[in-house]
Amino acid sequence: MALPVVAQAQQSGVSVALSDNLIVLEQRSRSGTIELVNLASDPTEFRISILDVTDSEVDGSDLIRWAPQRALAPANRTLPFRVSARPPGDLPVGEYLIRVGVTAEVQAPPPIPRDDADTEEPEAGIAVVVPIVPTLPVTVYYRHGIETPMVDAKPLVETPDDEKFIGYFPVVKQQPNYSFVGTVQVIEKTTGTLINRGRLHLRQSTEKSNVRMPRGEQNMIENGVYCLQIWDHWPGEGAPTTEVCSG
Amino acid sequence: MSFSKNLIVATALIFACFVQNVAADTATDTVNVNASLIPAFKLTCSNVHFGVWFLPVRSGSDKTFIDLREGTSLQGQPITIADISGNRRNVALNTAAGGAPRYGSCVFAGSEAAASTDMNIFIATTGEGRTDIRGALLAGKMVAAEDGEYVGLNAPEVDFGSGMRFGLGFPVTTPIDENGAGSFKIVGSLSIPGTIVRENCGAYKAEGVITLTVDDGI
Repeated sequence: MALPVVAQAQQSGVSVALSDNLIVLEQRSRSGTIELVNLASDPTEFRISILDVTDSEVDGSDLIRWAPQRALAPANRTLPFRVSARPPGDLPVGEYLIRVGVTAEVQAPPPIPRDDADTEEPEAGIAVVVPIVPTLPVTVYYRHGIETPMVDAKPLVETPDDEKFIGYFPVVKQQPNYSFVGTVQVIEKTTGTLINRGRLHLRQSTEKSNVRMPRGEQNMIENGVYCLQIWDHWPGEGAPTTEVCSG
Repeated sequence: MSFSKNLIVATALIFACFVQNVAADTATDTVNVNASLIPAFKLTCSNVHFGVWFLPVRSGSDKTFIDLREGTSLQGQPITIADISGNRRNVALNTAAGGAPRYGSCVFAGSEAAASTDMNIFIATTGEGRTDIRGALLAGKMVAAEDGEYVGLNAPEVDFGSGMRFGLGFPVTTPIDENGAGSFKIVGSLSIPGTIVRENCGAYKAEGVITLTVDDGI
């Protein structure tokens, strides 16, 4: 039995915001910062806690330091979240990571005081709520003695029957055990049309992925030349590290 | 007066003379005003409200089940539909303000990932219960809320113990659009015990802290 439909009123919710969710540290640059962003007009307390890494990831909690654990951000202001790597002298070459979860502390409204004289007999009702606390993870990598990881781009795969995508470029890691953090951009070279651009973050446990080309309002341009450009850093600047074109 | 003081006085006098002899003049220059707009990576989630229900004092083992799901109004607006099953005798929804059931919803924006990248969704609880963080289902039990914490109802005098349980359903992934944004819904199911005493009435909430995490790493 379905109850009469109930209008879905616009719900307020709890928010958490960061300037970014990814930090890459290297031997030459062993500290980094992101901002805890308070978009509200009231002070907000941020709480940061360490998250577990998976079995296929290399735990760096012994050498990556971070702060703060709790912080109160004034209204419409940011607070820095700082990380730094403190590698011991005998640290083996490799890539290490930590992952922390950032939560905006829920500030419950004070209960409305009741005048006993006005208290009515409570109705025999049951109210049930499941509070949801949004959390944003921040992944911090420290690369010790390794070259910047890169991916290989494979030829374009066209998907004319796919409603969402006109095609995709498969990418495969050159160093399977390390993460990849870089910039990908797909353009149609004859017209200079930008098809897609953004950061590509492949975790240590992920070997390959696809850079998709959303269909949007267009189909494949006849005789078009589609190119995937990849930078091994974010944001990508200068000439791409590699480029693969169709046709 | 010492030499240094004489020098200072002389310098001041010379400067004063120059100041007095300089004609008033105007000068213009440009002032650069800069502002940087950077999108923040933001996640907003609302709670899952099963609503306020009138239930009779009863005994037995026949539970009442309430399932929240998405629906569409006649005007094409998204709405919450609550399906009742099991023991439906004398069960009614209090549609007064604050009593309406609502599925949860999450909205994110500001991801740097390329369009059509999958945003991964994880959920966990600190309370008792089963968490299948990659299987899109979380189950747990309900405990007494604080007085007035939700919809103005007081905490029950006696809660259900492990008797009232909930489950949540949500997608494992959701696509990121060309603006780095996206959204998804959190639906739920609730089981209310077959035996209810008057002291069980009141406000309940999920045990522990339920955190929902999104990550655009592949």
